[in-house]
Amino acid sequence: MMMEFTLLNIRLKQLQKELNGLGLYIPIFIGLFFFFVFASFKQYQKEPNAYYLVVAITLLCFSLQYYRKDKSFIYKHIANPHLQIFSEYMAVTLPFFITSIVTANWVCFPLLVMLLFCIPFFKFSFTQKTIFKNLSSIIPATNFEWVSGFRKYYISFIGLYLLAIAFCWFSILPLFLLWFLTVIIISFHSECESIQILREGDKSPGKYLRDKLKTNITYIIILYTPLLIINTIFNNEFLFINILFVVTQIFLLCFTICFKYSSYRPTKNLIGNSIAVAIISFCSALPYFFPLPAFFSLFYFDKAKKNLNQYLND
Amino acid sequence: MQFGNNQVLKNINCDFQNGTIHGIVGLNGAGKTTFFNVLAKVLKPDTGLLKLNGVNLGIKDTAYLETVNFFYSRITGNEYLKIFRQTNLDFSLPILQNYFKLPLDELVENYSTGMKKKLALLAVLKQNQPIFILDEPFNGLDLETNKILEIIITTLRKKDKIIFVSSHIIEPLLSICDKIHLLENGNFITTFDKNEFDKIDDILFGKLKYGANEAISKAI
Repeated sequence: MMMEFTLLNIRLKQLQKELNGLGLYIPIFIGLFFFFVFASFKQYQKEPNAYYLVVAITLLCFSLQYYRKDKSFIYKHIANPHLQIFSEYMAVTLPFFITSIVTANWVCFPLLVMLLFCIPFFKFSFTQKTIFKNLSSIIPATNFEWVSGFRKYYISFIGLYLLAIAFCWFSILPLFLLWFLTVIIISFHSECESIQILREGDKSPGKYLRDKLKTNITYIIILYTPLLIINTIFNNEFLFINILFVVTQIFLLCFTICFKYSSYRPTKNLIGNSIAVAIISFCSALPYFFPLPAFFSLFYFDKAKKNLNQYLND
Repeated sequence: MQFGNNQVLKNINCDFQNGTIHGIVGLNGAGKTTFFNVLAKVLKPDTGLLKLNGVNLGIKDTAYLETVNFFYSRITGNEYLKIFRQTNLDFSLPILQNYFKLPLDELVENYSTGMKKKLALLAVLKQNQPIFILDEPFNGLDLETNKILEIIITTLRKKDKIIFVSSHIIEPLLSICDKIHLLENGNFITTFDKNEFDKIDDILFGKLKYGANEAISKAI
């Protein structure tokens, strides 16, 4: 009897829905997809990069398996759960390792298939431990995105920031580390709050957005400026680049927030938005494309205000 | 109120007095949650007006406890409560905590369904709005908290609030409500005053009583 790929069918439908939500970003998304397929193909031609890539893909799937919330449901209610989950990971990662077959490091292909096959056997779930119980004494609870995001990503957050401090006299490296930190910070804004939280404070849409932007800009300035001042002391010629960098990061965050509220629906999870935000974040790190977040921030501010009108105005 | 071709609420024309508790009952899909969403101004009605004491109802006039409560991930109960300003000056968390016994220092995602409901209720009670909308507030609560919730609702009545409560279990509504409204296909088809509550059972379950026992015993 033919096995039915229930999970894959669901994922395909979800992908289709998210792609529909991407609108004008679809060509960029497709472009980036092929870029990464090609980049992985190039890496499979080199040793040891090919094996690093195998490790990276395995770790990524392992962490997905570790954190996914639907595990108990799938193992309990879906037929052939191991094969279903394996096929899911294969479908997601195959474009990024099938090209290894035509390289000298073809062994990466069977190696990855074997490793991915093992992942569905890791079934354990865990209860979230409550860490930083007094976090709201440093970050006010009203900035719930930061409280929640910091708890989620504190290891990468603190790790990247400490690395940026440790290498702050280098010329470009701290900027790359801080850019990664910005990518983490913008992921704090991937959930929509409930209508009760949105309406707390009795603010107009414009005031709500401005306050949200102000708080986030303040945090970015507090975090990045001291580091970049030290960097500038060691690399005087980087003064202009460092100023431009902070401004770009601020606009990137502003764009993320405005974009979120332009498609805000109470309690909605913005997966489709995350793809678009990831694309713009990537573009902001490329020469000549850094003004994109500023342009999109302005573009989406009005859209966000208009969308919030239906929830915040009588 | 219409979603696509499906008209969910039709021709609703009602008055609700201050200091009264209104039970809203109806089968699944009758339009209870849509009615609450319109009242709370989460949804805008296609036509019609909502007025409170002669003035258009505003978004600040309602405190809304939804059926399913959403909490931002990785925040603790304490942090969730801190998000909301305390406009109800009588609200005392320590006193309510004596009864609710919530682990407020823990992450909300580790809470049970009932604990999440209690936390959302605490946030609602911090507010001093004239209208309280409680959609399925008894769901997931233990027996003791059910009783406490009844006391809370009747206390809100004493403070001259208008309270709307929905429930799929009729008993708690019978003991606390001043009126019970039956919603069917988007219309309030009947309103029962307190002295008519003994008729509700017959009207709601009349058809079921005859024949259902026999039919179901054959079916399972």
